[in-house]
Amino acid sequence: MFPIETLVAIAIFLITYALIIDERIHRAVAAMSGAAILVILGIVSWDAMLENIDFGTIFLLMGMMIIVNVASNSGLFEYLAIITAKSAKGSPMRVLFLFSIVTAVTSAFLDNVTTVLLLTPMLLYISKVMDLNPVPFLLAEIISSNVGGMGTLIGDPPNIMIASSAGLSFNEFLMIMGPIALVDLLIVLVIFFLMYRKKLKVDENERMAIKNTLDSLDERAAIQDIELFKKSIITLGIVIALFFMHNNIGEILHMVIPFVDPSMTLEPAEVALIGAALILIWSRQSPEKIFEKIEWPALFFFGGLFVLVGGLVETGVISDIAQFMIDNVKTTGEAMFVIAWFSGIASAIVDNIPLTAALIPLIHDIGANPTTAIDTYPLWWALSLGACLGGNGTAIAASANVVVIGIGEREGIHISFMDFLKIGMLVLFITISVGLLMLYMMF
Amino acid sequence: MGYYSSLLNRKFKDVVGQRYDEIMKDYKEFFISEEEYLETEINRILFPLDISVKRIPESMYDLLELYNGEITLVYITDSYICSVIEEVLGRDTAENYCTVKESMGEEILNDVTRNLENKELIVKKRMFSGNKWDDIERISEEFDMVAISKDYGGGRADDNEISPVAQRLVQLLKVNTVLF
Repeated sequence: MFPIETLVAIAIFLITYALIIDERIHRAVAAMSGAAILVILGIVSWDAMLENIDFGTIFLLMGMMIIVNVASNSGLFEYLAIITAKSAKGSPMRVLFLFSIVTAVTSAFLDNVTTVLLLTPMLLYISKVMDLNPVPFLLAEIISSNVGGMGTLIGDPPNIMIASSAGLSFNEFLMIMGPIALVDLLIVLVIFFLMYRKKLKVDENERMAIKNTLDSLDERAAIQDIELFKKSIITLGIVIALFFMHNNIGEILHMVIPFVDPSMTLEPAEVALIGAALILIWSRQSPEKIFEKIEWPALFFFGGLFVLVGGLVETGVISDIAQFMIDNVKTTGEAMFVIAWFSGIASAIVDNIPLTAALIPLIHDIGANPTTAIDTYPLWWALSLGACLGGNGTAIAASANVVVIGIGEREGIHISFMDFLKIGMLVLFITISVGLLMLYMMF
Repeated sequence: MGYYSSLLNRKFKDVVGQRYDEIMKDYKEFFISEEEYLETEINRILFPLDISVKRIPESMYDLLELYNGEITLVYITDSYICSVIEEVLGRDTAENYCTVKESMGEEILNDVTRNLENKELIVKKRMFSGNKWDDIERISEEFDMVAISKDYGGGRADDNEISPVAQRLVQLLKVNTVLF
């Protein structure tokens, strides 16, 4: 029989989880309330609470939010969208492909919600100009953002959480998840081509008319502040370069400044905060206004979530599940299969952020068990694969899906749950299968 | 799927908050509204003339040729002035004044019609007695565009680039208006 505090911790976790899914109460409020109850009941002590909160994840998100907020004030995203639209030269299928690629690449380096929030209005406008059903374009954008986000450490919140907790570097993510994201994106584009090639056909006259309309858009007019535009690009370049070098920054600096310790490394969160400080100093943007735009609810949501999962860790629930898994899964390959598919299918139903938060300590526990022959290193990638690509499964599985469908609803374009499910599940199964196959080949 | 829709709306509100409205405001200048997107067809153009507008400038011919619509020249003699002259100077003087005005109007209409027809444009002409402000506004509803000279209705004052009649018409007209 379980001790009473274990049952209470499980009950609070499940109730909070249900509230997070339903969102009748804001998910940040739900997570914080659940965490508060755990602390008040003494299931999680104050010290343990602070230990359970992964500040690496929170500061990385905060730093990137500051950088993106300053950059978006320059008109960078509108510029990108107009250039992309013009490059398509009036061909609807090319619009779909190019926007998917731009969305995937942007999502890989910036957060998915910001990316789709800024690109979707332009995509809707273009489909209106083309007089075509915008649904295929919106679906392609959603799926591309989730696939692209999987490719880097900073692309998707589950990756940020995994990297912060497992101590994985930006380059490791890029080398392992990057190729999988690339192959999966190509597969997604092929699926869309096969499904919509007939529906997205226009004759030569229509194509020229679309091209002329899109050519009349002035990308330079989109730039609201040319100085800020240049500074944003340079800062983003520096931040991305630092992400590439964060694990061996000491060696590089040591060559220039000899007293720097060659073994020094930078945490991804430190890189994001350096970038945030740099762009704030350089751009002279009002810090009050930029800090106002930080998604504080999202950060508090993460904080509450870490405490909630901490309750399960403290009461031994996670270690019991880990033990159960160790007893039933014998090899690393089997464990990868179980974690990838479990996180993939579960992420399609529930939010992938709390799911990742719950699975991270499980993988740590599997690794900490001396009796197991399971190597946890590939399991982190299996978790990233499942958690990120599971977001394509249903309309509510990832934030980017909710945002794009929400914008569509506001503009009178209805994508039903079933419409999304049909393509989402197909993409989910194909992309996870391919990704898992590639992971097996790597490990 | 009612629950799905309400769930989506709640999630959208929580995930996006006020950000979407701000973005839409920023994007607004790039978007063309449904009305703006439709190419306006200009088939009937109203062109008011009077003693201050005796000819059409060269630049306007280019515009009129571009639309290639039917141009209606209209000359309105001011009935109020005729009635004031009648009251002050008598009926004969007023009739004489109006006849002279109408013949001048006829001359201007014929002159401009000839010039426009030389450019192979389709021209109609109308002349009547009335009020320039009210009548142009009233009949403008039958047309797709009105072309008004800045001098229409009495010329410009030294400190104003546009005559009071033209200014008022530009403010009141609901159809496309070209001020030249």
